Amino acid sequence: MKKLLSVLLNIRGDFQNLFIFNEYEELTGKSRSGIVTLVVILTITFLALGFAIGGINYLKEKMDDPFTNWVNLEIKQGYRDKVSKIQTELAVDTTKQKFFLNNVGQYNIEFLPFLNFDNGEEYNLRLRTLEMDDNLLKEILSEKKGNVVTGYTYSGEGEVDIERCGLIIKESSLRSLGYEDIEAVKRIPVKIESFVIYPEITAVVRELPNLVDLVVTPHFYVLLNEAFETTNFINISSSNKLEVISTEQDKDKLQKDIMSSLMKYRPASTDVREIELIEGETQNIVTLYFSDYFKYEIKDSIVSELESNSDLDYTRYSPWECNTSRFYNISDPYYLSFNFDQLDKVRDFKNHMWDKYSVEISMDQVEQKENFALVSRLTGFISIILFGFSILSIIFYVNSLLRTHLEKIKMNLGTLKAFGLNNSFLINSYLKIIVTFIGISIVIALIICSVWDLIEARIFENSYFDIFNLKILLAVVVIVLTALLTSQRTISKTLLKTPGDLIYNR
Amino acid sequence: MQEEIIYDISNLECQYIPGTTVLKIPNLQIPKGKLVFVLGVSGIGKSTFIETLGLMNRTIHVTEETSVKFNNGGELEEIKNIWERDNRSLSKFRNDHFSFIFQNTNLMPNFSAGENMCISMLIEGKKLSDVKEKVLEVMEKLNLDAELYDRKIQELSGGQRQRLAFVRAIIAGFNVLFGDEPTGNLDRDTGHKLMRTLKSNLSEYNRTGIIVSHDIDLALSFADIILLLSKTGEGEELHGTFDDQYYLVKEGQEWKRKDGSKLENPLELISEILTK
Repeated sequence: MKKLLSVLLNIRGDFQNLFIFNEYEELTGKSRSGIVTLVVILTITFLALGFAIGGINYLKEKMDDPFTNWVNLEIKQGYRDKVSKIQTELAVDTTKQKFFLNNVGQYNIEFLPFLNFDNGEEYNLRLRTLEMDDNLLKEILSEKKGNVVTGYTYSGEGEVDIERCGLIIKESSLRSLGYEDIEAVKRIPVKIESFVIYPEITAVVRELPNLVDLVVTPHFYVLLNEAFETTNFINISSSNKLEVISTEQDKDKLQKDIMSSLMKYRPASTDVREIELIEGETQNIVTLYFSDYFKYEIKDSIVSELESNSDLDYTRYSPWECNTSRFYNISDPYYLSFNFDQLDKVRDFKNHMWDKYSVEISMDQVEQKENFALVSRLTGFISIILFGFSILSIIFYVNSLLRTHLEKIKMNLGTLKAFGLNNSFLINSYLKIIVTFIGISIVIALIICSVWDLIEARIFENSYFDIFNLKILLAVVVIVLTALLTSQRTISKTLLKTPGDLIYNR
Repeated sequence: MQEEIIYDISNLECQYIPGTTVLKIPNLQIPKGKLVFVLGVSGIGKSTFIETLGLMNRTIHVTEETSVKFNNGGELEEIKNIWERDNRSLSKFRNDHFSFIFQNTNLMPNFSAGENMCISMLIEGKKLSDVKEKVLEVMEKLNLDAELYDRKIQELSGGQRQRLAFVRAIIAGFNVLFGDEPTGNLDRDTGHKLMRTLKSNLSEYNRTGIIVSHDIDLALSFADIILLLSKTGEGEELHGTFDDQYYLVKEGQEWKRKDGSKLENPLELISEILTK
């Protein structure tokens, strides 16, 4: 250890070696009490800074988070006619800059019944629409943000490239539908009126805004909600085709079973193709061709006959078309969403909306945003004060230790100077001692903080403690440099005296 | 043959505070290779004398008439302006020429006894392993047990510490050794033993010793030269001074004044000066 330190500190000659290590022992005190005290101060400093930085990072993340950085406006009947005016005004760049607005969107929130994977029962999930070019969608799918559990991630460049009729669903919501192996789920069944469709899952994510379970594009939303006659999303005109889906893997058995189970409407032929709803687990879609054209109501009764006469499981499968003749958008949105780059002007924005359009944005939301901004600023400010206070404590402690020691041995130092030891040797040696003293204390304090970090990460799901980052590194540099500068002043003040003044205590 | 001089001083005024002279030395030559005792009452400027000559304090009041010459390798070098030099060069000068013993010993409390004795040579850049051998040799001469080498300073008696300080001083490479009451903590026998060792060292290497002391017996027993400092002036002008008539030289067993006149009773003269 001594050899390593000698190399690291560039200790030259036997005398400097002897002087530095003996004085280090003396300064650190009996039982290393000096080190212990400094380690305690530094550990408290680093813990406080670690929590402050972790807290600030969390708040900053939240502040920058488009999940948080928006304000919603429910479009009430009273001002429905003003929506287009608001949208037009807020699309202008100067207005956006004035309020730090990022973009203005519109959306709807609805419930949609999904079929439970375990028991086939209907289960309502809350969905929200989100436009393909909305920044919020980019953030939800952002690779950097790490919100995506599985599926499509947005790299940050270009536009989001996803299917218009896919689902972006929350992991917890998917689990509530009975799915365990989240990554394996490819499609999930949705019931629309009497039809069941199996849209693809675009991505499974951890969090979604507005407490919704899933997000769809406005186009898909319209297809799901508008009359099928208008959109042709599901072809409901008469046809000679009917499709059912079954978990039975044996295709021949399926075809024979269908032929033997249907008495009233016997198919002319059948055709079987595979579909993968869960990765590695295929199901079979059987297309039944009839010699006559049937309406959907008749087809329902054919499926009922099949279900009642067969031991195998069958579910109606409804083919649907996403790429219809046109792309749809929501013509009459329930909500407007205002996404902000920064939250500083939210209150001004609220006032502006009231003054100009007599539209009231919920004060709760505004205050929440302002509180976020205030707490972030306060935390930052407090952490700076805390750091300043810690620096002062460290400087005060190290310098008082040094001053007391130098005062105690000033006659001895005077004698050494009389023998020809120069000031630069002594200053250089004491600074090396201080570097070692603080360096060892910092390393021990950081080790203690790392252990704390590990324990905290094990105990709590979310750790708001961040110790290994550039700010702490900067803090360490500032602590060392400040301590060295002030120590040099203290040492020089004593050593600049003549040997005689030191020896005769003048 | 003319005596070689180590210090040649004229018109020297020593001041800690500019304008306040505490010691005046109109004229003084100190020969090389001698043991010089400086005697005087308390507060007369004895310590100032060795602080000034040993360059421990910036007390030389420099005027045109002032001259403080030091024998640096055979040549008398004017050093009245030496404090103008940078700290490194001044320290080097001290390291090359001077060594010190103080009554308080001023040993480093956190160094072992051995390490303390080695300090003066280690400062010169020598290796600890090489110095240790020499230290043990001198310890033996002074009847110091070699076992003391590794002991802590706190475990030693005052006398032992004084002897360590003595070893530290005489093993260094020096031309002039300054001592401020170096035997103050020792009994008579031990004090005399140290003086004998010092005298033998000075004579062996042609070195000079300048010792400040109150011990008249020690001075009369070992000094080659005794300088008596006396008071002059009144009130705020009161300061110590040195007069040629108080420059006593030992020739054989006899004490003489600088002009060669024999001094029948040096003890009487010294006592008179010290009680003035």
